[in-house]
Amino acid sequence: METDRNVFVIAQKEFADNLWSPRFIVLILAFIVIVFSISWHSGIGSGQAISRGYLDLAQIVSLFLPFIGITLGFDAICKEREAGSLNVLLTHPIYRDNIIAGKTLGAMLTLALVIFISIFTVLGSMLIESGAKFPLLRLNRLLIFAILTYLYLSIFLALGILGSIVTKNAIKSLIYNIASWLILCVVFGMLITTTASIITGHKPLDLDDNERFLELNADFQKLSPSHHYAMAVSGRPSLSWLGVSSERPAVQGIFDTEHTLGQWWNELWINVLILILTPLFLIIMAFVTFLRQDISMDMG
Amino acid sequence: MNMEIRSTELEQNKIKPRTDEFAIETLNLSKSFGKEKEIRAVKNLNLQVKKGEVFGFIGPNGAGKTTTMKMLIGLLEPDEGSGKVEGFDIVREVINIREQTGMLPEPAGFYDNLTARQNLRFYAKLYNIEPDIREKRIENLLETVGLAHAIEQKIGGFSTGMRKRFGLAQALINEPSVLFLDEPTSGIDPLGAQRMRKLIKDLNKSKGVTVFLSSHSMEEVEEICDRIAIISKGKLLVIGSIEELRDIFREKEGIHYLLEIQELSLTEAAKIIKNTEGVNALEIQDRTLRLHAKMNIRTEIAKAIKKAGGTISMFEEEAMNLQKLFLKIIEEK
Repeated sequence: METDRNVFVIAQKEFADNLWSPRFIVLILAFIVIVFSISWHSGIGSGQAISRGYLDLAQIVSLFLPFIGITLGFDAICKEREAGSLNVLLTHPIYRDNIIAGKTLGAMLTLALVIFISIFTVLGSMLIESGAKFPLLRLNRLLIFAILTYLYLSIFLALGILGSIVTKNAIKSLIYNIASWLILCVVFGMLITTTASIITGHKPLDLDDNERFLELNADFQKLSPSHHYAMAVSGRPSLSWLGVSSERPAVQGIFDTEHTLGQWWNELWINVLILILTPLFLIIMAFVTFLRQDISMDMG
Repeated sequence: MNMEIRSTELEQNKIKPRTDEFAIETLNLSKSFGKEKEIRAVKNLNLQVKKGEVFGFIGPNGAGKTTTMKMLIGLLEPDEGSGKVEGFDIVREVINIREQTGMLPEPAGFYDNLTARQNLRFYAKLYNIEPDIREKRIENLLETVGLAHAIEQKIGGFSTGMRKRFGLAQALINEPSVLFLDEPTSGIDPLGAQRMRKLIKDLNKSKGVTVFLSSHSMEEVEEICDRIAIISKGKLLVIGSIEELRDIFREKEGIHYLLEIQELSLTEAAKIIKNTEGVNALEIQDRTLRLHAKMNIRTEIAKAIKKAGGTISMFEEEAMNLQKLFLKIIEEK
């Protein structure tokens, strides 16, 4: 259909806008520097240079990289609304769902580029530093790692877009998104430990008879996307600040070469599925919210 | 030559207007807002805008002008009634309408980080205009609106007047047959406003574009519009040409004339005129006679003065300008 083609027109513009926006360039450069440093140190004197490097990277990704997702999405709609360009865009032959689909697609493409640049920067730095030969068999694990990272960051991208739809301006949207990041990635461990402690009446530092407390803690942990990402990548629950967890899967993530990819899938498929479904759910929510909103009220 | 052929092919593929007579038609168009639809923005609006005319749509703030425009281009669905733009239904054929029309909304924002050319290129892509035609059209449009010199400048650096003219260029990117302009000269200086009006008039004359214009500037509407509709609290109060609107008050309130007479003293002339049937009041103002009559009595007065040996050097109707007409209509209704 003719108007569906306009999804790509908008996506193309979004992609170009993102690539040339100063904030995006600053963020990607900062991220590459961090990742490069981490990977450089991870490789020193280790035969497991590559997998160790990626485990450290996974921690960095789960904590800091959501910012890239947020940066790409937090002002997608509200910026246009504030500037009045949404008014003009809507007077052209384009459906509302084309606008949101184009914006999401453009941001997702940018995100894919970020992951691509990051992964190859890290890989290159580790190989140069450690002199390790990169086995071809590990290439598929690297690819899966990249996809998992992409899915994880898509969650924050979708959250950003949703924030940009429900808020009136970019500042508010950024504040809500930073608050979401703080809760989901930084203080989530502390929050659930406190909650589990209140519910079970068990003190967190009391190690006796703490099964119920740890069980509840592990269950609550599953509410955070960073947990599912950390589990799938490193086989360790994401223990954000003051968090505890008893969950210990047999497969130590995607780079655990002692187990096959089949074993990895059997053990951790639920985490992967959640990483797929969560951004999808958030994107659908963003679509529905945007379509139900009376955006024409912004006009005059 | 090649480009012309391709342009014609593209035009053939373009959806054509379905009607020949009216560019815009509405029938009992209504729209309410609020949880219980308690705010009636537009009530049973019936409009017929002829092809090729400049139609002024005026009213106080909150009268329903913008809501009507939004319904006409499919940004809002009416609660009741129906409407057509170029023969396309305003609910079911929104995309066809937007293919046929251009709009400069208020407020209008553009992509400040992009140049004028890049902005227009983006809008042109939404119509799938072929690259070679697109680039030529962008250059021509910016030339038309007097922004050729700023083609590679970022919109963020444009003045308000330049932004308005650029807004007109973006509304014309698809060569529309109907142009919706919401406050096209608001916020720009008199010189810029004059330039904008000339552009609108030229577009209407040279390309036959139907213009549906909403404005608070009565001077502007009076200058460029062929017909006018006045709307208040969502209701259409009057519709017609300025002369037709004046006739409403001529019938109700009579006519004021100004006369200058030679070869007769003003006192003598006043006596003669007073005796003419239909004259309500008469006063001498400096060297002029100002009279109020119930109806058009030009011929009778001219005859009487001639008979008395006088010559009329000036005989003008004190016509109400649109500003006065508008205020009177709003007050009355």
